[in-house]
Amino acid sequence: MDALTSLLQGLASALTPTHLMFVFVGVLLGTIVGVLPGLGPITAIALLIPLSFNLDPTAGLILLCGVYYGAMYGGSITSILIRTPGEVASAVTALEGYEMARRGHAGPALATAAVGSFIGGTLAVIGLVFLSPVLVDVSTSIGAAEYAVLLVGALALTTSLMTGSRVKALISVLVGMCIGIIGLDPQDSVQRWTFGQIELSDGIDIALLAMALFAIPEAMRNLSIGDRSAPSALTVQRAWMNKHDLRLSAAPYARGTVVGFIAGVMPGLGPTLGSFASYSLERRVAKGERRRWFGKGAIEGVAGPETANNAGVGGAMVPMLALAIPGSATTALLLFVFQMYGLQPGPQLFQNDGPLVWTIIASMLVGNAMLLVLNLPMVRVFVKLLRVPPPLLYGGVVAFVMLGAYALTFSLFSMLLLVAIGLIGFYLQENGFPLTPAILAAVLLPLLELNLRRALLIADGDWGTFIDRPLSLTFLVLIALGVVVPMLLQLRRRFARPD
Amino acid sequence: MKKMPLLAATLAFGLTLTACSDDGGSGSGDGSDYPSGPITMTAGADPGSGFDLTLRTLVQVIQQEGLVEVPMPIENRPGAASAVWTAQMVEQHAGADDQVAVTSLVMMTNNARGQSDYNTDDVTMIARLLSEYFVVVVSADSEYQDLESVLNAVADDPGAVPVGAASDDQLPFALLMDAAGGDASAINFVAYEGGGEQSTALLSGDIDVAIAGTSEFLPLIESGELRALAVVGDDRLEGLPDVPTAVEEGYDVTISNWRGIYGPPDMPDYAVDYWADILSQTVESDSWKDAAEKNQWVTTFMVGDELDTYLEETNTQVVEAFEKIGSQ
Repeated sequence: MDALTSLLQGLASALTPTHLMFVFVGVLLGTIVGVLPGLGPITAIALLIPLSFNLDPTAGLILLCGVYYGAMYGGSITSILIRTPGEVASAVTALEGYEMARRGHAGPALATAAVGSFIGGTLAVIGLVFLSPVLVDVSTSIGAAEYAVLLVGALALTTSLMTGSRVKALISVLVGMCIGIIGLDPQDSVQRWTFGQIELSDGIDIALLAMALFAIPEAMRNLSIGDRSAPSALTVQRAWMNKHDLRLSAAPYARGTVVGFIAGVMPGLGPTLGSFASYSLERRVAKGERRRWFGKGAIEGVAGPETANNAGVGGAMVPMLALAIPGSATTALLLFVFQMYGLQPGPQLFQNDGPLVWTIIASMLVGNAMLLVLNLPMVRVFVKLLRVPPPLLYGGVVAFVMLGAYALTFSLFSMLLLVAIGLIGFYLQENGFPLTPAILAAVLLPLLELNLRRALLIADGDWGTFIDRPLSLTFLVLIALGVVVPMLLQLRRRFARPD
Repeated sequence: MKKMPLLAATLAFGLTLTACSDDGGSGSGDGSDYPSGPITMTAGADPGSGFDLTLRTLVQVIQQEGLVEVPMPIENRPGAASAVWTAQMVEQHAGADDQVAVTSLVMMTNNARGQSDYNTDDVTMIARLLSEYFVVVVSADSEYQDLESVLNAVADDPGAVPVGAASDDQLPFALLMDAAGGDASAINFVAYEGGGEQSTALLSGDIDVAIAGTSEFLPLIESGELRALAVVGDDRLEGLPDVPTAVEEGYDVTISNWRGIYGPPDMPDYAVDYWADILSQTVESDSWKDAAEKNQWVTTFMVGDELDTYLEETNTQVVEAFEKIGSQ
């Protein structure tokens, strides 16, 4: 195996003391920015660029890549503990993770997130090494029509996220759609619902939305209770996963790796969508008693998405390294760093700069192992955060997300937006509206609109394009089988039992 | 309390990020000791964007050459294709001597399309640094071998030949169509956010033709995945010597994406003169030339009256072109 030999040589180079140190600094910084809401890997990499140019290319790139995947670990910590997603790809982790923490299972939640991240991150690197050539072909054979169909499938999956009142869930979707519409029309650059505010013309940042709809309402709820002692639900019962937790997490790890990696490889999707898709999938495949746990702290709902977002990072490296096509803003920035070093990602990269690229890829293996070792002992430390009395803790959370909102654009406008949407979120939550459908709608619908309109423009307005294209037709059939058939079965069951 | 390190880290980060954003003049009134404090260099776009790349390259070269002694913190203030930062410069930093930012043809197209209230004459334009030529590309297995066949195909049946272009890069293609005698308002433009998305769409066969700044496609042109049919500019590019210009192919269009440096309105003369001088030395340096070559930038340095005339002419061209496209 040629790739294996190269990888082992890369590993030897990545394990030299200097490179080990840069991996360590990278993943540590990544974890920190991942924890801080509003500060994602992209800001951290931008801040480190001037520094990295004083390093040799290998060390610099090892450091910056470490920040990227390290952030995926960090993001889950605050999601689980205080329902404040540190970065967007971890937003979905808050759903089950925070519920677990409220039941006193913060320890197992953090542990499964760390183990899942390690598995996803490691397997994705292996996928990157051995599957790159195939994946490049796949990612370039998918057009706007296929993306549109896939997104319809993702939306159909999210209907399974709706618990409780259907009407309230649909209203929540509507709120998300309205928020997703704000900004410039993606094809014709017409202002939509921007009220003449130039700051709104790029739409509302999903990171800001996640903070406003998850962190603020929860903080306000806790602050409005007025109980000054730490509620008993928050006391930590276990700090570690037991056998049962591990058994429940195993399958989500596997599924999360596949879903996350594939979403990462697709230039139009990226790690965020991977973690959302993984959550929907876990909820869908859960059986019997486990299904009822969703929404109340199901460990599968933490294990799957956390595996998926780390696998997504490895996946996103595939088109970036092999085609110089960045699938996300963060990989676009990494691409720029490669170019500043005089390296040109693309089909010739592995021939021209083989040893360097293999060292970087191997460093991702080392970094993932390091993150696991770093994070597992820290679980005990992090859960102590919950011993802080709620007024102090949630007062801190509000300050924390306000700073995060400011850091997104460095403007007061973002902070006001955060407060405004946060208040709406609080009102909705207190009245029993689920907020997850709103976030999903705000993420998925703009992407669907973009690809649907592109597909139709390309086909000159012909809706038949979705059926004429073999790949798109295949996806349509699969979605029909996955969504429509279970619905029919359910109907039949209802009619079969006339009670 | 274990929360403290987190909070401390937040604060430290927050301070680092915001420390350079306060708005104070540096240097005394007459500017004799200018610059005496940090100069904030802003890209009104995300890290990794063309604006960001230009600014980071520029600052790096200036520092390597030791031309400026004071710190030059780089800030990213993305929003509305840089229009958010332009508005801030005009509305909040007028008269300041410590604010410098990068801009491009986008400032003119934003204004022409009504996306921005401000244009190049509302700020203090200091210099044009470079021009990035537009390039028309098709995928390697495309039937189109030259610009003429593409333009004819688009003119014959616009709906059947979708053209991939970021909304700001539709302008040069519309001008080419106009020069070919076709109807520019009928072109079936599909909007993409930059070269990465366009490349994917070309490779997947979604679109047949795309246009963007040369640097967006360079790696895939060099590796043979994409074929460049023509560059829009005055001369052939050194990095793509076999690719003809649009003029050589018989279409008299030379509009290119200029990138330049500007300050707020009423920027003091001493600061304008200082930066014009620094920038002229920067573009003469070897490290700038290396960077420009790597990115396929054509250094087209210009300051003063010459710059004003150029901006005025280009503006007229942009406004006329949008009238021809008809939409927006």
